[in-house]
Amino acid sequence: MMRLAILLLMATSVVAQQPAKKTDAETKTAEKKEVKVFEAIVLKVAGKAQSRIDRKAKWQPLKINQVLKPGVVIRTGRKSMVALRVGANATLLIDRQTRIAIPTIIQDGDTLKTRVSLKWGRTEVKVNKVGRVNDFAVSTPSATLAVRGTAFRIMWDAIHGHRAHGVPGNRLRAIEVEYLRKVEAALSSSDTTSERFPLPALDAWYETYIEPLKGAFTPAELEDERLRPIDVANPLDSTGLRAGNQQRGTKQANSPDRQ
Amino acid sequence: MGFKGPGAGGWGLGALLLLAACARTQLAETEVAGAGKDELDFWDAVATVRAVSNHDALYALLLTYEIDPGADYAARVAMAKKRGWIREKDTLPEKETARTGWIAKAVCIESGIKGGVTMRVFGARERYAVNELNYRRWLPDLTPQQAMTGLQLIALLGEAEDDNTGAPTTNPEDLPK
Repeated sequence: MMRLAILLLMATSVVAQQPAKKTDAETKTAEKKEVKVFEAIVLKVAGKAQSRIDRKAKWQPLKINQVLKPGVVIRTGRKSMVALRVGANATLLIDRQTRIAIPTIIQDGDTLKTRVSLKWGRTEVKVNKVGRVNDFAVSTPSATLAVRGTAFRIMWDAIHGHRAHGVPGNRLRAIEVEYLRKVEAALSSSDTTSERFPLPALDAWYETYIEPLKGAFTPAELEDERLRPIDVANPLDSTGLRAGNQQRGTKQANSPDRQ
Repeated sequence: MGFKGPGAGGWGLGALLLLAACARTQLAETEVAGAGKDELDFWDAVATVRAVSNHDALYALLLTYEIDPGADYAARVAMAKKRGWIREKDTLPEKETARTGWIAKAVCIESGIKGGVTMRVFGARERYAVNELNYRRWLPDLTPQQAMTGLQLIALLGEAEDDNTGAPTTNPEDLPK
């Protein structure tokens, strides 16, 4: 009788646990599929700084606490600076004489995905670890940087080309740079990498096909494969022009085990 | 059957071609006029040009060093002569491509760059000024007669601004190890 009671108790507990397991799985799947579009908020403005949401819009002066949607383009003048909080995990400090666009700020499942396009000028970036996978990439006319929770400064101008500096606190291979001419570099601590020569043809290709200034996408649009914004860090793969993933560095930077 | 040199017509044509090759390019328009009133519009417009005109370069220098840009081009040229950027006898045609030489000289004068021994002895001549800025890597190894692209001018003036305001250096080799 005692044995029967124990068996019954065990069976009940198994039956009771099963729906709970199913719910966890469902929650995880739902969380994976969920796409949230984030925004950026202006923390500080010094000097002359303006923004616009697309190429047809007029330039408007930036103000503190102003909320900026993905797709925003920002420009700063001489002796000017803008500080932004971008999405849930990044802070951007845009320095003088800079032109920069932020085409994507989303949370795709467990991944915080941010894309920044630096046309020229310089910016300092800090990507925090907030318990999600950081997929933060900055593209310049010469290179693309993939970053896992770290801080760095990136510059591009017509004299020195692309330059990226890490900060001393960075971990091993914290920043992975892929130059447009298919050379990869990994930065640890306060390492520096630079590329003097831009590739105007590839830059124009990026500008034409990636369309970083295209603007924000709603979650419904993101579900549609045809409207999915092209991955700036992985453009050839996302357009299907390149077979297989040859961008080893970018893939590693995105993997959760390297967080 | 000896070699016959070119006749008078041939030498004339050669001289004409040589002169044409040495002449500087005239641009269709300057960006100062088309950029509107906003300073940032002007910089955006300059960034797109493959060779900056004298007027664009002059206006950009006056903006960077916060000198009154005056009402028109003549006033700006007069200011450039007054500050020693160009010689009194020099003419700067408005739409002609700007020479790196006088731009470098203006930057050296306004930023107080004294340069090496030669520049200290002979003053901020165009050639020495360009050499000095090449040495500082503010210029990408240009010569005094070369033209500059708009983005190169913006980068050069950005370096000058950093130097004037005491901003941290942007040269990777100069950063602390």
